[in-house]
Amino acid sequence: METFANPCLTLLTDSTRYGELDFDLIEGAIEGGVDMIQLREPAFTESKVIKTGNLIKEITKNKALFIFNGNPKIAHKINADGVQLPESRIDTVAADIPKGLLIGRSIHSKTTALKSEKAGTDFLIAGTLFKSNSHLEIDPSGLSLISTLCKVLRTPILGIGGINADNAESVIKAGAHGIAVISSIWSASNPKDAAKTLKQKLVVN
Amino acid sequence: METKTINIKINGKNKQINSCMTIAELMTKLDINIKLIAIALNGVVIRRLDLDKVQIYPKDEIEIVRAVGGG
Amino acid sequence: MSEPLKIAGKVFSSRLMVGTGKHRSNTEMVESIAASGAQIVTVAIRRLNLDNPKEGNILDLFDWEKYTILPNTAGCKTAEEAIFVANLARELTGSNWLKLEVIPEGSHLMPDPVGTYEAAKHLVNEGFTVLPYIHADPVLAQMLEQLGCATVMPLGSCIGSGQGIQTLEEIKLIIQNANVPVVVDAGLATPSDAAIAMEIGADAVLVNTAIAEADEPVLMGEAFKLGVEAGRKCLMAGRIKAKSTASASSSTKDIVSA
Repeated sequence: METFANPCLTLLTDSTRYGELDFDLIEGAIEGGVDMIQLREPAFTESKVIKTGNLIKEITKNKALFIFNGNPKIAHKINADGVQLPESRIDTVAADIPKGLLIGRSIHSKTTALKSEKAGTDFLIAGTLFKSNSHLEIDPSGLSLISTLCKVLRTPILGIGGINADNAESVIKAGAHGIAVISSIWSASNPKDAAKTLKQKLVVN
Repeated sequence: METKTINIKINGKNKQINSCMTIAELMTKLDINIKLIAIALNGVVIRRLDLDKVQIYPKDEIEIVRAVGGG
Repeated sequence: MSEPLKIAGKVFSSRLMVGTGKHRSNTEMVESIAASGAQIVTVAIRRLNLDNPKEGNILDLFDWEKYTILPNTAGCKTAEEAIFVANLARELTGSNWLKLEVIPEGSHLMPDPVGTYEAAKHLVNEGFTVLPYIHADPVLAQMLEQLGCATVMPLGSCIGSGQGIQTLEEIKLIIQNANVPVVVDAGLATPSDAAIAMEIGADAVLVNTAIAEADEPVLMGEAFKLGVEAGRKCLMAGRIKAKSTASASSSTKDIVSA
C-alpha cells in the first residue's frame, strides 16, 4: 500500500459525465503527479466494479493509492487501498471496516467532520468548495470550511468541488493537505499536463 | 502505565495536560462547569455538544470564556 | 396606549436597557436592575479564571426567563476580534443577540465605524441579531440599518462620562431616518437625560454607570425607570411648541380693575 502523499492530488472517476473510463488517461494522470485514484461509480454493478477495480489496481500499484468510493466490503474484495465513505455513513466506525483499508470520509459540515476523528478516519475530503460541475445544485462552502477544520483536526483534509489550476493554491493556503478533482483533469486537452500543473500548484512555499 | 503529557495553552497560559484528551475530558479534569462557559480551540468556537468529539493536540490553544458584568 | 418596544420580533414593555458592569456588589446589581424594570440586560465576555473556575458566575444571578441577555463585544479592538467574541457569546448564551462594540482606543472609548460596519456585515450574514454601538452618525446608522442590524445604538456621550446627551441634533437626524429602533446608549447620567432621549423620539435607552455608580443604585434604577416612562409619555402626549413670545395662562377677559 502506498503511504499518504503530502501534498496529495486525487482524481475521482465520473463515467456518467465523461464516458467509459479511459485507463490510459488515468495512467497519464498518475505520471503527471496524481497520488490517489478514487473509483466513484454508484451506477456500476458489482461485477463491473470488480472488473474496473482490478484494472485500476494494475495501474496504481506502487504508484498511487486506489480508493473505492462505496461499500467497504467491496473495497476489500477488489484489493483497494482504502474506502471513501459518504457523510451519511458517519456512524460507520473503524471497527465496522475490514482491517487494512484506509478510511476516507466525505464531509460538507464542521459537525460531521468533528465526529469523524472519533469514528476513525485517515483522511477527509471536504467540499463543495467552489461551484462544481458535478454538484451544480450545491451552494459552495468556500475555503472557510477548510480553514476552520484544519485548526481543529489533525486528520489530513483534501478540498473538493470546482478546484482548478487557478484556485488550487488557495485551497492549500487555507490549510488543506491536498485536493480532489474531476473535471480539471478529465476534460483537459492534455490530462497528464493538467495533472502536472495542478501538482505544482499544491507545492506552496 | 505512564501517561504522556503534552504542552498546550489555556487562556494564554502554558499548561501541561495528559495527551489524548478530548475538550470535554479536560473540562472535567479542571472542574469546569461547561454550562457556564464557551470554548474555542485554535480560534474555532466549539459547540457544547461537540466538546466530547474534539481531541486536544500538542501546541493547541484553548480559550475558555464566561459572562461577566458589562455595559 | 403606547406601543411596546419591538426588537427583532421580540416585544418589551420596558424601554430601559441596563448594563451589569461596575456594580459594587451582586446584590446591588440584581436589586437595582429589578427596580429599573429593565428587561434587556447586557453582559461582557471574559476569560474564565482558571485558578478559581467555580467562582460566582453572573449567569446564575438572573432568571433568564424574565430577562433577555445581551452579550457585548466590549474589549474588542478590531472587527476580527468582535466576530470571534460574538461567536463565543452565542455559544455561551444560546442567543443570537449581540451588542456589537468595536473600540480601539482606551481613553475616549469611541467606536470604530469601519470596524463596526465590517463586523456587522459579517455577523448579520451569520444570523446574529446585531445591535451596533456607534457614534451618533446618521450616515453610519442608515448603512447599518441597510445591512440588517436590529437596532442602532448612538452614543449620548463617552461611555461612563456622565456628560449626558451631547449629540442631541445628530440623534434627532438618526431618529428621523431610522426604520429600526434607535437606542441611545452611553454617557447618560440622570433620568432627565433619559427622558430627553425619549422625548425626541428614541425607542429606548441603555444605562449602566449612572445606576451602578450612583450613591444609591436601587433608588437610581427606579428613578431611571420613571424618567424613561415620563419621556415616552411626553412623546405620546404631544408637547407644546416653544414660542418666542409669552402667552398668558390666565384668561385676559374680565380682569378686575381697582
